[in-house]
Amino acid sequence: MRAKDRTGLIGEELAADHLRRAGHHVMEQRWRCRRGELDLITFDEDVLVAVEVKTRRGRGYGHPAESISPEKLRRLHLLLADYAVHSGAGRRRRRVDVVSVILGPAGAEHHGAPVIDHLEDVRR
Amino acid sequence: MTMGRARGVTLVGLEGHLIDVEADIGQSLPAFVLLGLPDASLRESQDRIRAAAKNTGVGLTDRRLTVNLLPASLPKSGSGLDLAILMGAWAADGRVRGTEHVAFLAELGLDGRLRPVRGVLPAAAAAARAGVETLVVSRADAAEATLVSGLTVLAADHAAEVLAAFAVPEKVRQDLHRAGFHLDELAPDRCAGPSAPRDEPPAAGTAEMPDLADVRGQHEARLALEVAAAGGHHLLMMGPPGAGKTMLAERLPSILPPLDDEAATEVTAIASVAGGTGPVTALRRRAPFESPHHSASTASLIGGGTRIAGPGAVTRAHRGVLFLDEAPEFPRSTLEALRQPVETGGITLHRAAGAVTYPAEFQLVLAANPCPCGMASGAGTSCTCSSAQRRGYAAKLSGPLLDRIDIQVQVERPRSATMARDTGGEGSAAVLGRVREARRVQADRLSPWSLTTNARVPMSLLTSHLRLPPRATAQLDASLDRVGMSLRGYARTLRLAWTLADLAGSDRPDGDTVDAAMQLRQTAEDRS
Repeated sequence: MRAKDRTGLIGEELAADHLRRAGHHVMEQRWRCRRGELDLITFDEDVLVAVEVKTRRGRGYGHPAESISPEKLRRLHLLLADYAVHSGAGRRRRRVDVVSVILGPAGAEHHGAPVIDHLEDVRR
Repeated sequence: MTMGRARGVTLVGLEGHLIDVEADIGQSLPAFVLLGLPDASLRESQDRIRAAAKNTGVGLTDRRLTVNLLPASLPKSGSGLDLAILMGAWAADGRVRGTEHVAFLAELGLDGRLRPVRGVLPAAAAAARAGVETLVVSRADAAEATLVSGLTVLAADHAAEVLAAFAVPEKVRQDLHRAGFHLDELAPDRCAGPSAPRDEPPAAGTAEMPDLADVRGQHEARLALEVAAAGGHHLLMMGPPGAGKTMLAERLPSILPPLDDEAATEVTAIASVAGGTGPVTALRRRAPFESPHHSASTASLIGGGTRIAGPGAVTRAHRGVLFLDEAPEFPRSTLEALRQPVETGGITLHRAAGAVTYPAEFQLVLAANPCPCGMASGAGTSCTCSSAQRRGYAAKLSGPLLDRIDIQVQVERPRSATMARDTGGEGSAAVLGRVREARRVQADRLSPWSLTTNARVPMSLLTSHLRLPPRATAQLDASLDRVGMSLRGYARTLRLAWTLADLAGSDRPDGDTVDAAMQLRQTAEDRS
């Protein structure tokens, strides 16, 4: 497995833990369809939430969430609509969240706790 | 708190406008949005601000940052708002406080250093007028900012110092430390009051300010120069190459009195906005001297540029001298463009983004050869020009512009006899003494109409309160009837007569003085 994919997996696990502590009910991890993939799908009370997880080692390339373009955000909203239809939750309220995870450098996992930043209801 | 405020200043022409910077942090993806008519140079500030913030170790918010510049309708330009925007952004995420009533005026380098900006003096004056008490500038601009009284000026080299002055310590201490700054050691300089020395004009006789004593002979031209200095009159010198026209004109500033506080502030503000004359550390007390080459474009002379037009040579010569050497070589359209400033003392430039008015109250000094080859003076035997060429050359200057020039004098090459007889003329200091006295007398006389120099007295005043007895103006009245002198020429002769009287120490011109004034106006026309 390539290092960048492992970073991503670690981040997704950390994000899922964080969301559970925040009261989310995690439905899916890495849900795929023909049009793409959603990192996490949860219910926050009765709201269906698609969560995009961005993980970085350090901040040398800027804040993780900066890399989400308006185009990517639009795709997330479309994918979430697909999922809602697919899972029979089409009438639920929906939103997209972004969780950014900043890890220490590779090989120094214990060098300080990861920094998790949760943005709710991202629209633009 | 997710809202932050700071203040900045933007210049439209020479006028400073206080800008309110509002910064809001929205719960959304990281972005930096700048609202309120920013121009291209101001849009670039986003990237400078982001880099500067990162390099102080503190950074900008990880959320959507919206910065609004108020009033939104005013077009804003330049890099001078960089620091104000950065402080507003930091105030929005609670890293600094107390910035709402402070004005910030500096450009940011990518490393976070504060860079000097143009136009600090008029901007600081505008801030003080708007009730701002504290102004933060780069250290290079501190001396200029303290020329404005009633402001506490904070001067810093780096954004980290400014951050420290307004910081909420627990929010920034660690971040600063990681970038190698120590919060407790950072502090901007506090400079209050005009501490800078007042700039006195250099004594005549230096390379910067040549002395009138260098001029041999040229009694008539010297008198013309002295009268021009005393009354603020426009002057035309006509004569062959090598007669000393340029030499005389360059010595005019040495016999002009130093500028008073108001004029010095205006001149210094113009120098600050126009740039290119080194840092401003004190008020400029010396009358400016601008001598654009005859290849100068109209825009460079009267001011120009896209969006909001910048100042030109006529504005840099405000309260001083605009000298056009080889005046007939200037394009006619360029000379004609001088008519508005000569008449009104200002220049209004219109562009799509808005009109701007600059002051341009200068004394115009023209030098001209009598013909293209320059030899058609005196007997004129060595002139090689055709009469058509000569007429065309003279016509360049004729008409409305020439009519606005009070003094027209012929300058001849000195003869060997003159050289042998004269051992250098009177020095600038002695002439300046008489000029200052004459200026004082006319300012006293003209104060009821808030005028200071004879050259600016309107026709209506000359024929009412300052009317001379018919006895004194008999000769002049006659030429108005017989020679076809224009009414404007009539008024100019009277103005000159008043200046001559002021220089002679008499309380009003008599018949002889008016005659002498007529001579000063007409010699050049008659002889060429």
